[in-house]
This record gives sequence, C-alpha cells and structure tokens, in this order.
Amino acid sequence: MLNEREELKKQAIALAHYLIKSRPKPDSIKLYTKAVRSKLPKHLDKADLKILKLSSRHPSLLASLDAGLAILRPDAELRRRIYIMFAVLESTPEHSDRFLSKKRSRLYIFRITGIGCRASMRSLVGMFLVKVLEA
Amino acid sequence: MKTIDYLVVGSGCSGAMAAQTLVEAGVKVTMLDVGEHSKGEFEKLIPDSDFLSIRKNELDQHKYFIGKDADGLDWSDIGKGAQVTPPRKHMVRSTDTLIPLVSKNFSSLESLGYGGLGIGWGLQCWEYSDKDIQKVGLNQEDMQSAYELVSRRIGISASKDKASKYTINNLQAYQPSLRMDRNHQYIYSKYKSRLNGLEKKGIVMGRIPLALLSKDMKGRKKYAYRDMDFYSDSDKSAWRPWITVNNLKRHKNFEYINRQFVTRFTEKGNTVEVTATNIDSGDITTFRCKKLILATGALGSARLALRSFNDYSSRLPLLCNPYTYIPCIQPRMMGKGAEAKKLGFAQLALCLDEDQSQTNTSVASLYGYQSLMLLRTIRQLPFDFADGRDLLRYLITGLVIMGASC
Repeated sequence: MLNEREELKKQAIALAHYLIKSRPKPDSIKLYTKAVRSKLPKHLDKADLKILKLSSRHPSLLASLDAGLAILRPDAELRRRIYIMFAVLESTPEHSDRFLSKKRSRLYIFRITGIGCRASMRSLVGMFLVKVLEA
Repeated sequence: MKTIDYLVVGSGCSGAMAAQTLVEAGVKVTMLDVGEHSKGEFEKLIPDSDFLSIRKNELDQHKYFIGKDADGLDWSDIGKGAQVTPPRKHMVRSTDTLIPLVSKNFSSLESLGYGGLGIGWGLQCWEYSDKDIQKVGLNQEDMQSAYELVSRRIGISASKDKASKYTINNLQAYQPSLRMDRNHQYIYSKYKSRLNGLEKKGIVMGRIPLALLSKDMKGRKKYAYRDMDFYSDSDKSAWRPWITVNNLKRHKNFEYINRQFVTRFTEKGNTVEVTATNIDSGDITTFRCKKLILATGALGSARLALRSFNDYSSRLPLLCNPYTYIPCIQPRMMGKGAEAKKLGFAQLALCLDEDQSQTNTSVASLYGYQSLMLLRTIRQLPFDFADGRDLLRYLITGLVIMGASC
C-alpha cells in the first residue's frame, strides 16, 4: 500500500505523461503534490474515488475519463488534478513549447479536424465509463 | 488630538487624484489606508523581459504565473479575485474578513490594497459624452477641465477616430495610441473597409484610450510591448494609483498612514472624527479632521456612511451595468504563431449607437489573449485537457475577447 505522498507522486507522473508524453521534473512533481495536498478536499465522494482509482490502475484511460467528465461533470476531482498538473507544466520553461501558440502548416485544418474527431471519440468512451462508474 | 486639514480615506484612483489635487493646492493632507502590499517579492522575481522569453527561459516563472505553491490557481470562475494573477493578489487580500459581502446573484470586487482596484485595473479611460454629463446634471466645462487635468497627470494614449465621440470626446491632452497587435490590426482594417455600411447601423470602431504611456513621462517609461501587463509594473508605463501616492509621499504637506481600517466617522461641529482600527495590532485610533474625503469605492463608502449613521436597515439600490465576456475567433489569424512584442491591454473599442443619440450606447472592448496562458481558458472547453490544449494552441492567436457593457 502506497502512502499518500507516493500515491500523488505516481499520479503526477501519470498525469504528466498523459498531458505531455514525458516524465515531469522532480520540482514539478513536488509542486503538484504540494498544490493537491493544500488545495483539494480531503473527503471525496464515492464517484470521485472510483474514477481516481480507475485512472490510477489504468493511466491509459485518463484521456477518456477526462473527456467524459468534461461534459458530464467538469468539476470532478480528476479534472481538478489534471488542471493543476496542466498549470504546473505550462509554467515550466522545459515544456513551454507545448503550450505556446502553434504556427500553422498548410494542412493545419486537417490537424484541427483530427484533434476534434479524437476529442469526440474520447468523450463518447469517457461518458460511457463515467456513467458505468457512477451507476 | 491634532486636527488634520483634509483626511482622505483610501489610496485607489479617486483617493490618489483627490489627494494630489489637495496637496498641489498647498493644504495639509493625511491619507488613511489599509494598504495591503505585495511586499516586493514579485518585483525582484520578474525579469524585465517579454512574455515569450520568460516562458522559454525563466525557471521561477511558476511563482508569478501560478503562485509559489500553485496557490494562485483558482478553480472557480467568479468570486473575489478569481481572475487576478499572483503578483496582483494583494489587491483583494483581507477583503473577505474586513469587508465581506455575501450575495446569491452578485459578486463584488473591492480592494484594501495599496492603490485599490487600480492595482489590477485594465487602464481604460472612457469619457462620458457631453449629453451623458448634461443628463446627470454635471457641469460640462468642469468635467472637461477635470478630464484634461487627469489625463495630463496620469498620461493617456488615445487616437482621434470614428469612435472618439464615445471614447475621448473633446480631450486634448493625450499621447499617441500604442501599436495594435496583428489580430486587432486585421479587425480594424476590416472595419475600415466596411465603414459606410456599419456607420449607418450606428456601429463605430476606434482605439481605446488607455492610461498607458507611448512616450516617456515624469520618470515613467513608455510601454515596451513586453506583454507582461498582468504581472508586472516595472517600467511604470501603466499608471497605477500607487505611483501617484508614492510621489505624494515626497511632499511635506502629505502624510500616509497605512494598516488603518476606517470603521466610522462622526460629525462634531465643524470637524469630523474618524475611527480606525490598526489591522495588525487591533489598536483603535481616532483622527480629527476639518474635511473628510471618502474614497473607498461605491460599496465601501456606502457601507462606511451607513455604519456611521447607525443605519443597519436601509436597503441601498445598487446600479451596475451588466458586463459580459464574449469570446470571438478570427479564423484568418488562427495558427499564426506567438507575437513577441505585444500589447496585453484592450486595444479596440466597439460602440453601438443605433439612434445616434450618444446616450444609449452599448460599448465593448476588444482584447487579445496570450499572456494569461492557456490554463485560464482550457477549463471552459468541453474537451479533455490534452486535446483542448492542442486546439487552443491554434485558436489562441485568432482569439479576441469582447468585454461588452450594455
């Protein structure tokens, strides 16, 4: 059984991998852990706990769960935690290029359409998962 | 107890201007203020560099972008200071405890900071039209000279254009407008190409007057297009009330007393006694003055006056224009890449005056979006964060936020 700090560290790594496909620096993990421990409620409802557990066991489902929650329950605990990691990563110089505006290529409209389609697919899968977990 | 000539309560825009007028007239002025301060922690941290360079190079950037311990992150969208960045958070410090306001359908923004709400003010300086001034019973000439005086003191950059009658009206003392960013230049050129048709519908567009210098003035530098306006005032190109109060402190006939929270006043013959509590020690002090100037904001001044007259039952009507943010996308500007030298404040004014009367005008300000970072908009999208970010990176250069007031 991992203690809370180790759990949050593992979660930080999984969230960073989901958002930027790479491992965060120790400073970013530390900042994430500190922010989560100070900002977020200690008592979580059952649905939030189930979603957090599932995302921790299967980090590959993070994107779908995030997308489903964005539509069904944008204030869910998982979304809050992803948001904190997002902010931590956005404010580190190593990852700034992944968050600054992107110059378009000639085919950018296909790229945007592709992102839109992927997001929609994730939302459908995610909504199904969230509904099942919350049932 | 000595008697003070003029006692000004509050160091915001009104307090600073009132105090300057009195100090320049040669009378003795004391300013009482809570004066919440950033304690200089951010001034040392934020380099004199542009937003993009900071994003790419500065290791400590999280301290001012999201807070030292990410404590500047606010999950809620409304409420006191939800949109305020960490270096400006002192603007709302202590307001929850000293001046709480609870409402189900109204969110107030008040300040006890050194410089009041001017700490985070967006610098827009719209003048009322002659007809508006007449309508509320103010003297047009007095107002005009007051506008000129304030503009000379704080430095306003503006342009004479189609929207002037709604923005700067007859103002003479102003500096040239600052350069617009790419997106606003494009919107403005589109407006100009359709000028006649839009004017017939009562729609005009022009530059927004800003308390932001395009030329050096009295020790303050002209704006350097660093796009760090939500975080730093290092070159003082943007006028903030504390700049005026800092200057006033050099005058012998001005005294600034901070950490004083004024709770009530009592009129006694030709004088006024003002009671204030030191917010650190809890000590209560009474000040006596010949004239009292309350510059504690509409809500603060009303609260103070009602309490002073022991009136806890009157219900004051609160008049307030509805204000809405409307995100707009300019498709041609999407995916253009970040701009290194950019103006972060509102750049264009859009006015709708259907009957051309200048009294029922709806106005909107157009802002670009870059330095507030993706983290402030990403939660509004109905997508997962990773895809939302990928989309926003293309959209952001074409994004214009319209702040509309009807």
